[in-house]
Amino acid sequence: MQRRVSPAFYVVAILYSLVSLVPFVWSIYTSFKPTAGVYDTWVPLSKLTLQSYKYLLTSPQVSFMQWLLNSVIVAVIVTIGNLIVNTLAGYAFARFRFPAKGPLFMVFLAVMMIPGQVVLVPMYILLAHLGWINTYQGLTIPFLMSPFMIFLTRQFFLGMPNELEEAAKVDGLGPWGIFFKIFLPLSRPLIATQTIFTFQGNWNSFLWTSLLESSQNMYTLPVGLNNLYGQYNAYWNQVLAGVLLLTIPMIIIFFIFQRQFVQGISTSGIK
Amino acid sequence: MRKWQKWSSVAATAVMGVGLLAGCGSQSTSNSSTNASAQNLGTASNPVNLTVGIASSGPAETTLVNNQVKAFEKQYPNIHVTVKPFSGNELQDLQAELAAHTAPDIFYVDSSIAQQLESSGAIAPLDNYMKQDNFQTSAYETSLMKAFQWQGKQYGIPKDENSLALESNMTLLNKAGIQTPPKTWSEFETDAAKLKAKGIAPLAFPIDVARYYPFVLNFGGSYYDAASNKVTFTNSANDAGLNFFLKNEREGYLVNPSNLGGTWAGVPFAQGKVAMVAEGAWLIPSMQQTAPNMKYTITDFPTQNGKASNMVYTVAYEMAASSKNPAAAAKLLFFLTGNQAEQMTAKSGLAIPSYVPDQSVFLKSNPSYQAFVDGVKNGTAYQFGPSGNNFVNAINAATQAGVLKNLSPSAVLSQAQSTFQSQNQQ
Repeated sequence: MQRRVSPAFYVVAILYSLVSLVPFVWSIYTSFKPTAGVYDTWVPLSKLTLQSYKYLLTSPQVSFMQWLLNSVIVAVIVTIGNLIVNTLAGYAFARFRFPAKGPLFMVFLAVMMIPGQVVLVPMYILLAHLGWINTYQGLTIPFLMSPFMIFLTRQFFLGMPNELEEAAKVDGLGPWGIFFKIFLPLSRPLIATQTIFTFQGNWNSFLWTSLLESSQNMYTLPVGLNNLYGQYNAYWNQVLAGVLLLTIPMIIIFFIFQRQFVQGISTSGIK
Repeated sequence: MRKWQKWSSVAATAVMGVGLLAGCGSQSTSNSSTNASAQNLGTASNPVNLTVGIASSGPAETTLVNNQVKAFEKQYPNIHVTVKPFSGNELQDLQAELAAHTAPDIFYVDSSIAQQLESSGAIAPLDNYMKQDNFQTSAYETSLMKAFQWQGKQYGIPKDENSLALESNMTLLNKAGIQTPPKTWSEFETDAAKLKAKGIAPLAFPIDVARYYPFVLNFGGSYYDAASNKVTFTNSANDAGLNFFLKNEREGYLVNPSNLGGTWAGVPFAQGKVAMVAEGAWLIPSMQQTAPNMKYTITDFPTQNGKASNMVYTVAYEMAASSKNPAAAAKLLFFLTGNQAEQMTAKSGLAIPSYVPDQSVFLKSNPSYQAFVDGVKNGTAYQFGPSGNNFVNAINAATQAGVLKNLSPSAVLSQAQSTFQSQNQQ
């Protein structure tokens, strides 16, 4: 049965959406302002310009396309790696029995509670010894798994009925077959959620990337764009133009996976 | 469960665990030798490779340093130099790189973080190299050289300098019947009352010890005793200077830039929302870009009680103790802070050279910077010992609380002292 929603609800929701959109619209507007008028509250439409976007995309001092390529490479490798590793590990934790499973899982949970900043210097030293500074390996391999996502996957697979697995075994499927033919197709919302969160986390990653990459050619987009402003001398139109260009791929990813993502949230809510 | 299933799952989870622990890493710093060939300046067949780390303000500064390095390589053809701009937070990057022995041979160090790094032992003292190269310290202002000393040793040579001046929008001052910018802080109070009466914000001034510390010094106080490395917030001589700041905040003569819609004082000034700001020379390029048509005058930072105290902001080149070629790195460091390279800085107009003989070159093409050059002579370096970060956080938080809650100066200073002590005991 469908409930009637009061018109007042729509009014409040629309107003709230408009208010939430103001900073985003303001950012777009500022990105089109000329540098000389960047602090002016209103710049007439006739004075708006594409100069910031042109500068970002064509200036030899800003290797925008190289930074974009680096961001795509890193985010795609890390996302695919996480999907493989987290899902398999979650499956193992949820459905197999093996020695020290409990303590190992506790280690995973404990690692989730360590703030990233605490391990920054030791991790940097480790990667420096491996010769992975200024390399794609350094930006990807340490991040090919996520304790939180393993935990999430484990919880998801724990909820799968035993009967499903038993029936698959009767039909002659081994553990890999059960995983790929039964569990994986049923976990599309989980995969979509992981993809969005992992891609977004790595797409926006700044702290680790800025520490590890000192060569301009290896910058990712957030690190490169950070160089557009100094402590006092910010080119806000260029910064915001860069931020908007940085946001577009994330919006695309969200729209591709949004159906599964929303489905994931709704199914977990009605269990 | 079949045996292979069991062991494959054990192996999979064990690999994950090892990966995790490897991710966390261990503090295994090797003590690699730093004494390698103390005088190695390279040969044609076996050149020395050096790296310079810079916290660049933008492409123009990176180009300048690259050109300076080219001039150095011309003089020392067997030394090859690579310039690497820090991409994120310099201190954070440097701390990790110094720990991993991957830091550049020489790099920028801001005075505010200098002693934190110098006291850690990761920076090489320069005294022996200065003696070897007959380095002339008299070519630099004492306040600048002092900013890079720790326990009697010189760890850095300043590459540029900055101080505070008073920048005034004369159109707004004239509206309140004021013909010339104030020369003293008591004149300022009189002018500020006139401006406020006309509905004009008098002076955008952040609630920050980096700006108001001259008031404390002018009234005979001091927050930090460099000789004994002691924080002295609760010294009663500090009350009068802080009181001057708090009183002017309450009167609305000093206005926090965020209350005028800016992240720093230059924003409302460029928008014509405030009559005056007290900022360093970094204001000028920002004004050229954001308010190219606005006319404003630059005068000396006002005096108080007959004293012309000022804050000095400076950046030095320092050398990593882990440098494999310290003698060559020292040559590069002295070159980049010496006559030829500093003349290039002067001509670029990007920063005020710290090498005094080159300042006339800079002032010839940038006469409006005179007040910033003069300010250094009466300046105190912006640094408060190896716990400078905690120091600044403690006093700024307490001062902001003092402004918001209308606290007395002694209450603000007690709060700062106890916050600083509790942070340093952690």
